[in-house]
Amino acid sequence: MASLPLAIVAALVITACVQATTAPPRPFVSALELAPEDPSPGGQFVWLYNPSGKTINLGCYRLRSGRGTVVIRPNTLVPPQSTVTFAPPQAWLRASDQVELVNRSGRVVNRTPMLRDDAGDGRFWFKRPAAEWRFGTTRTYGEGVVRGKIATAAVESCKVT
Amino acid sequence: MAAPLQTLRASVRPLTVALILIGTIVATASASHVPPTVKDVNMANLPAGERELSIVVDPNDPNHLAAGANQRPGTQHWYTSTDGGRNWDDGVLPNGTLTVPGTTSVLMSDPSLDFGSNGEIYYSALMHGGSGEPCTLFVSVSTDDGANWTDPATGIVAAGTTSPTVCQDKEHIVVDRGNSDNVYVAWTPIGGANDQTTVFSRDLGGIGNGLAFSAPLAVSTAPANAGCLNQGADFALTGSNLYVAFTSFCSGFGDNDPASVWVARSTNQGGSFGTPVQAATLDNVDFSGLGFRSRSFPSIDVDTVTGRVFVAYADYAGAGTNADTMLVSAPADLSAWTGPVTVNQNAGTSDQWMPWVDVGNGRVHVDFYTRAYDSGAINLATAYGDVAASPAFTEIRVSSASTPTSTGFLGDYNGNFVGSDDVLHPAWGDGRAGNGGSTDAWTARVDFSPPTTLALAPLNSSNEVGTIVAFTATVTGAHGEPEQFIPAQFSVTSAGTPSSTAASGVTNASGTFGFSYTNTTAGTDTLTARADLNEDGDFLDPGEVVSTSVTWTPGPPASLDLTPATDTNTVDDTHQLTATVKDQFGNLVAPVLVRFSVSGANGVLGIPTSGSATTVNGVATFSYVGVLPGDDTITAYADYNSDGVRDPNPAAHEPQDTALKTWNLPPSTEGAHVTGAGAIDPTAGGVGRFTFNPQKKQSEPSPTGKLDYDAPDLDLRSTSITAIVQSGSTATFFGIATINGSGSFVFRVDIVDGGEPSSSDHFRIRLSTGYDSGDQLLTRGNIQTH
Repeated sequence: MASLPLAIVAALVITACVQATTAPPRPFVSALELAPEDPSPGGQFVWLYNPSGKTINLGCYRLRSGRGTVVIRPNTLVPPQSTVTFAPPQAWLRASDQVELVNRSGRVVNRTPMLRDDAGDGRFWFKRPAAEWRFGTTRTYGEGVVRGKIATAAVESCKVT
Repeated sequence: MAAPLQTLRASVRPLTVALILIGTIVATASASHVPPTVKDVNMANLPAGERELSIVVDPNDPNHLAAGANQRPGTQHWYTSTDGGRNWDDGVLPNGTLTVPGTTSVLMSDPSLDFGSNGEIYYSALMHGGSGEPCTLFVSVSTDDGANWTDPATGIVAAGTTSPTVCQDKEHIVVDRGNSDNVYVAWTPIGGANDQTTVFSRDLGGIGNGLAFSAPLAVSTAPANAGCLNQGADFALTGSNLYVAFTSFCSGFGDNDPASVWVARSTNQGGSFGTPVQAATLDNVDFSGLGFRSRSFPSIDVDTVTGRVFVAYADYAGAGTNADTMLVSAPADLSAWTGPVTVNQNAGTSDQWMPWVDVGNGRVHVDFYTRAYDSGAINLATAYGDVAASPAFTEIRVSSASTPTSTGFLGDYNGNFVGSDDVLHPAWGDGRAGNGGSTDAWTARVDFSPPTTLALAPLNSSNEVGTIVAFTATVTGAHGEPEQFIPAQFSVTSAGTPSSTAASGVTNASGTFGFSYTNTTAGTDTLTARADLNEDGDFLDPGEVVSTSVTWTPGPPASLDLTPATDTNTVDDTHQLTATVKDQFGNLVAPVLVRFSVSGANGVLGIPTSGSATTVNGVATFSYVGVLPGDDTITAYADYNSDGVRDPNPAAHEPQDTALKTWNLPPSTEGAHVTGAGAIDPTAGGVGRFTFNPQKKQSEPSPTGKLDYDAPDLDLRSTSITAIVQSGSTATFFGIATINGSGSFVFRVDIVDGGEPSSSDHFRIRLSTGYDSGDQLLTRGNIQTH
């Protein structure tokens, strides 16, 4: 077998090291229903997608909108490449709004652009990995779906700041 | 709630069918049990998206339907049909002057409809803006099938407010036609004093005295309330029992969240409600993960015969996957609920949800969305079973095409209503390819007594040409009831001249489609009736075609043509005339007596002067031999009434015609020469004495000679001999003579020289006066042929 040039081998090693130390993809907001067809509680929804290869715990993460902040129930585990859905019981999104996903340290890990929807129909904003936001209808994608819960104000363990 | 079945059922059907069969050809698939037929219909194919259907059938007219749907972009869209849901009119429900404070857009949701006693359409919905904004619940009424609607602002059931923010949400409506058309509405306010409580309001007297709704009355009282979201109110009404069902979500309303279904009853027209009774528990079915919200709201109906109450809802049957539609029931007092039975009958693990129940005509019908067909895409199915505490269901697919799961929101409710004609009308939002918008409002006719029989009458009729004859195609359902709006056709195959050869249309309320025509040409037609019993657009299915023969017979005589019209013959020839008798349209008549008579040269002799014959294929013949030279007139007429007398009135149908006949003298025999003198003694006319000597010399252009004949009152002296024909000992000669010294009369003499003695000689003389001696042997004298 012919040996590879030293420079190439070094480059491969370096690349592998860089890849090994790269942070895993962060969860992101993958869908927003700002204006459902009717005003019933639970009509608005948010989807978060875990694009990583590991299960992540989004418990006590916060979702922040123009109307307020809700807390994800503790121990909300999202398998790799799966979606977790939330339907806040009260109107939580404005017709024109932006949602931030805030981790337990208070750091914004994902932020949507300002999105607007006053159609009041079945269409909503959604995003696929490495794609632009689109307005329409789709189902969740990935390996699975987790039904997320919004924590009530009585959840002490999250120590919401 | 379904209207009671109007038609009589099995006990009288055999007799009915038997009566129909008399004098008809019947094409039938079966007259006993048949599976329901299904035909789905896009109600409007609008460019917008329509979903969340509510549909009702007018209890006074099963062909009169109304429906409503959410429309996006837009508000509400109404639909009406007057042909049993086959075709629909539609329009946007007007906003009127209604506005909702604190809203940033104008939307409407949650349609619910019912009919008033006189066909009025009551339409409830909420006007709202975006999420978290107020919603106002209203009722609008149309008394002209959607052409005009009352201003929603005059029918506010509960107004949305901003301080606090209150959204009046998820209502349903029912009209109490048994009690002055009271209007009942139940819903769930979100926010305010009745936050998340199922409440009730009523208007007494309906639109007739204007709409004025009472203050909300809490229905979801303890033990149902307890701070839960009590939502999805639906009504059932029979007699004095008014039921409200709702789902109580006490642990959220995400997918698989536990909830319970409750029913409260009022027996005083909603003046008060009893304590809610828990009918079932469930795990909420929410398909947000598929991109659209759903929720396990209940649907309730009551069997008007037994009073039994049925509630349908969606549930995960324990495993957390495989949503099913379930049904429980209870007696009228709600005292004992059955355990749930699964409505959908798929054997797999697909999902079924959003059921809507309607009970009528002895059956429980539940429609629902299902993913059991077409690789998990969404379809609308209906399950039905005889009324029982726990019905045994049969499931059929209703939608003929699938809705992709990626379609999005399909609404919170489906519609379902069975009419008195035993046709079920599901209604749903459908996202199949070809829709105008993302979803369209679809319905179907699920006919539990479908058209099965096509009968045609009269059969094998025989009619006089020119008569307009009416034929009737009758379509009846599996239970003998008339079937209206069934496409039908008539066609005529004829070698003649039918006045019409085809007609098409639909059957009327009596189940009939008529066709009339006539033919002016005698013969036999084939009349074919077709009915598209299964309304699939063709007439190719069994039982859809019936044929019969139609015979057209000639009419009475209208004309008689006697031929030849003119002719010339030599005396002693046989002349035949033909009388052709036709009706007014030229058809050869059926057998009719034709009488002939002759006048003129031979008309006086009666050899023969008259005759009669019956037509064969319109033709009668008459023959006679002319014995005297000259002109005859032959007359023939159709003796239609066989009385021997012609009635000239055209209405008597005794036409006549005449022909002219000229009889010429035969050429004389050259050298003919006869002589004679003697006497004959005819019985009539007395003894006649004669002398004659006609002859034809070749040297003379004409015969010569004389004839004298004397008989009582008859002194004949010839003035010329016009012809003589001799053949052996037989001869005939003609001439002109005077009688008693005057006039000019034609005579003819036939003689036979019988040899010697002369007693074998014959003499006969005939005159144009009618005198005829008859063939006589001589009593004395002698005749010689030379």
